[in-house]
Amino acid sequence: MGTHLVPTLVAREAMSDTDVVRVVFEASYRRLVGQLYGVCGDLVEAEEVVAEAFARAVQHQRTFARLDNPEAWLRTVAVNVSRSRFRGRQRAAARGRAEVHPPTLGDDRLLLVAALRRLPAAQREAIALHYLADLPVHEVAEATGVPVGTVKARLSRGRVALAALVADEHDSTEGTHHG
Amino acid sequence: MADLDRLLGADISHAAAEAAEAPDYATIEQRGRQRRRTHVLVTTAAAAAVTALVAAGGSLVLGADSLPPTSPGLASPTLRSMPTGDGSSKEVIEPGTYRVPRSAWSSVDFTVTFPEGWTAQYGHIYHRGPGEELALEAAVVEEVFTDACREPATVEPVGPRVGDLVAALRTQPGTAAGRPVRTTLGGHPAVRVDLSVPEGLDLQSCRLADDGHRGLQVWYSEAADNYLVLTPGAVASVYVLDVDGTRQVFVARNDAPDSREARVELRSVLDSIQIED
Repeated sequence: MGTHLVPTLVAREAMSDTDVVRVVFEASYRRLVGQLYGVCGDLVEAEEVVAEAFARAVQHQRTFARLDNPEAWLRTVAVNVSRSRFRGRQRAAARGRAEVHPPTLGDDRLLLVAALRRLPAAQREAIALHYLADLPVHEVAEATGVPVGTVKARLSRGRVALAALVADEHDSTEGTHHG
Repeated sequence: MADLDRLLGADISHAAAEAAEAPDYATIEQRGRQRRRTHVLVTTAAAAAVTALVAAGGSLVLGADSLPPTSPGLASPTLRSMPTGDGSSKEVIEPGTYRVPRSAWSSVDFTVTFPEGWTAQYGHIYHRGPGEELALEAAVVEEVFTDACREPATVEPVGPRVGDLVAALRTQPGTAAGRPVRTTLGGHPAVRVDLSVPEGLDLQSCRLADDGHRGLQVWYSEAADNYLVLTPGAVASVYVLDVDGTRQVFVARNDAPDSREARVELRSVLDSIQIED
């Protein structure tokens, strides 16, 4: 997946603002969905928040075309969109309409994603973006809008909580298989 | 924890990226363009009203709460349905009382009475006058921009209480917020906060300047696809209501505060709002 590169600012200066968004879409869409998957815990949800981020890029295409790092901007917007949609999803879940759409993953990975969904949102974002999306801590800080120290604290607390949740998910799965 | 180390790898993101199906870009582009048109309509209308006022040498103060309450003069036993249109044009509102059902713009059903000369856009933004000197809209606000002026345009969630939104509006960087005023609207307790562009703020340094506009973005309602934008010299009065535990917002704008007639008319429309049980 990693062969699509975002054109440099110099290269983008030769394009129209409209073309810049489309070219970045072609280069970054799948990668961003992959990075947002852990944040959202749902592939369809990740696709929708990334699509929404690109719609906002079109909306502000003049600004977008002049960004040093358009993919980082899209990631920040997508994380913000996921936060507001998560609240809506909680309301939907309360009405019994939550859905989960997993990609092709082994059982242990799906179990991890299930555990991730149970983490507090702030810890889930940090864990997903740092460990699953492989972003350095300072880029996680940029995407989530908090200081680097806060990200490190969330990673530390999140790992402890996630380990317990993974064990719990594992026990639940065992119980389901044998119960 | 060793098991966790083994599981926490980038292969999950890679698998998700592989499984992702890129949507039709034309659809995304259309959505963004449509939203930009909506945004331009709102900001341009406000700017036109401000320009007209500046030409008249006036200053902008809403001041609706400083007037004695008036009774709606055109109350009708018949409840009408608000014209919706497609948003690209304003629909004339015939004088009378309208029922506005709950929607992405409003958590409650309410009725409101308009005199002659008002129009509706998207069924939820109400204006009066050729320069749209008066405006009223309902809003459901769950998040505000972390900064009304500077990039990036990121939002932060607002708690569910009236006080949460009032505090968020008062502390939002970029705007000038007046002292909160306890009042009532629609038969329910409310807090009013007047928002404006601070004196001396160079709006060319704000993010909307890149889109050719001079203004501040206070909030964006994703569900209604609507921004609250402040333009220079204007004052937006934000009424934050507590409707039996549900927060509902109404925004009133008066760009002609020197006109007693305009103040009385806006007061009349505000006083006519009734929240339905």
